[in-house]
Amino acid sequence: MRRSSLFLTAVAGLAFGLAGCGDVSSVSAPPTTPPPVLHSGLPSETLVQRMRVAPTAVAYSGVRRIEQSWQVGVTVYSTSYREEVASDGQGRVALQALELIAPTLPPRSEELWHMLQESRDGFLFRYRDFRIHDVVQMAVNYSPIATGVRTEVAGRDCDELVFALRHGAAFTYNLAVDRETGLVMRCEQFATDGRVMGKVEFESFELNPQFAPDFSWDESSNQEQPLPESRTSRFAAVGFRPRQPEGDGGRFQLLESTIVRSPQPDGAGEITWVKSTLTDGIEVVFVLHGGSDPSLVSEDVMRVAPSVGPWNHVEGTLDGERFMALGRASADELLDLIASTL
Amino acid sequence: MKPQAHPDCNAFRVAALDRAALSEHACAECERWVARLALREGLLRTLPRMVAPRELDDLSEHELESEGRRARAVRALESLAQVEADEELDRAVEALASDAGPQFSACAPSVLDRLVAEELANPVKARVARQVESLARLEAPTVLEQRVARELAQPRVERRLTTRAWLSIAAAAIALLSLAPLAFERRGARPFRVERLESTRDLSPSARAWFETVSSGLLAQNNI
Repeated sequence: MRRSSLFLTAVAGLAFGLAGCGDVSSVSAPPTTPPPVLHSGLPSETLVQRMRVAPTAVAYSGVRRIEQSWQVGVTVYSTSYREEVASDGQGRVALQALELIAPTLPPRSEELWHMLQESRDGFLFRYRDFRIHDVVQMAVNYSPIATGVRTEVAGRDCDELVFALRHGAAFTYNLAVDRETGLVMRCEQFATDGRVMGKVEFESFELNPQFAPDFSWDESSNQEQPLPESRTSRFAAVGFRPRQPEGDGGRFQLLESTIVRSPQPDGAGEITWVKSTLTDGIEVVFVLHGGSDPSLVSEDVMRVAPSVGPWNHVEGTLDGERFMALGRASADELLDLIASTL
Repeated sequence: MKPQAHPDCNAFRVAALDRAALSEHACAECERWVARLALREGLLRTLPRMVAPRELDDLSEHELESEGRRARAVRALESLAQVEADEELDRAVEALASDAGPQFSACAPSVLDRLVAEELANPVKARVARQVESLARLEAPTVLEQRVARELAQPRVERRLTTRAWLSIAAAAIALLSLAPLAFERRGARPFRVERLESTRDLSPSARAWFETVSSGLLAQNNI
């Protein structure tokens, strides 16, 4: 489907949602037949657009509680912690772990956990939490529903929304979205069997706070470079012909392509990867293609790691080149994306 | 009480329910009706599908077994409502008995024997039959009646597929059959072998690092 037609579909859907959210009782009707008042519908386009930009476009700070209940193999492991989050509304953000509630770790291990969380903050801010990465893709793949329930989270007046994938099995998100800012104040993630997998909720919140001049904003340690447009430049930049997934017509569409470098497993030199970031509007998956290496096995094989909660990872060697795919999608979907690069 | 909808509105809504091509029908009430219908459909699709409990399967199986038939018959008889005969019937029976003299002995009519036999043989079927018979019969929509009347009024023309039509159908079938394997074998057609690791201890360093990041250190915390 062409992207323009997808956009029209999305706009039509959201326009329909606006109609659905309107006060139907205000439409003229015979006085003896009051039309039923709808208590649910699609969220308005305005709110969805605000949700997309709110995490970095709104100035705020607050404390959130994060709870994860993730299955690995046959065992369910629970983690719970508090963190402070802030944004100056101009693109600068800060995320700092405050307290590990569970599990209980020895002091040295907890100290190490705090340090590691600090190094993960950029990734966690962008990809752990519920985010609308692409409104059009979201409207194509998901059925957003405003339940009509108003709720209060950390003193903010919120609308309750539910996001479920239109086709296929995936996670369902129940959200409490700040009506004024579009920030997700509470997010519950449910597995396909209805089990709660995670919850992120603001415990305190301040809109437009006064940040001290020496406030510690996160500095991106991201060394990624954009992938050049032309084939010649691409080859010159990475030293091999990059393979990218064909998301055309599928759930995931390409969001951006970048070049990343990682150290070799033996520490001698580094590996250059072409990283394709794809999204279905909400979930994000990464497909990485590395260059060839004579030491790699010649057999075409992909290894699927056991799921860790909602996350999956596949990696292997195809045509003597490295491939890897990871994200909050099924292993089969990741394998299909790898296959589409060939 | 709702006022009676206009016949055109009825026809329009029946067509909408049948997913038929919607005719020109500039009625604001019907437009709102269709919008509400789409919203309800969307909401219903979001509802989780309920699974019947295992106990229900076991009970059904037990009920269908021959040992359970006697118990079912007893329960069915116990569930039958007792009907009181009215006084007129009583008087008629007394008169009949007095006319017949002391040799008279009342016996159930044969239809009652048959009904009881049917009830005992298959109580579920008999109960369902009674329930179905008690349902109100729905009237066919006006548009359907009009369509049937039009069809009956037209002279019958025997339609036969031409050779060209048969060829078109055959070509379409061949095309579908040739495309079907592509659709079904999309996953099976991956040009590589897939190995599934059993334990997180078999993870590569890159996979382990990735999972540690997304899980905020879950693997290390639990030593898995």
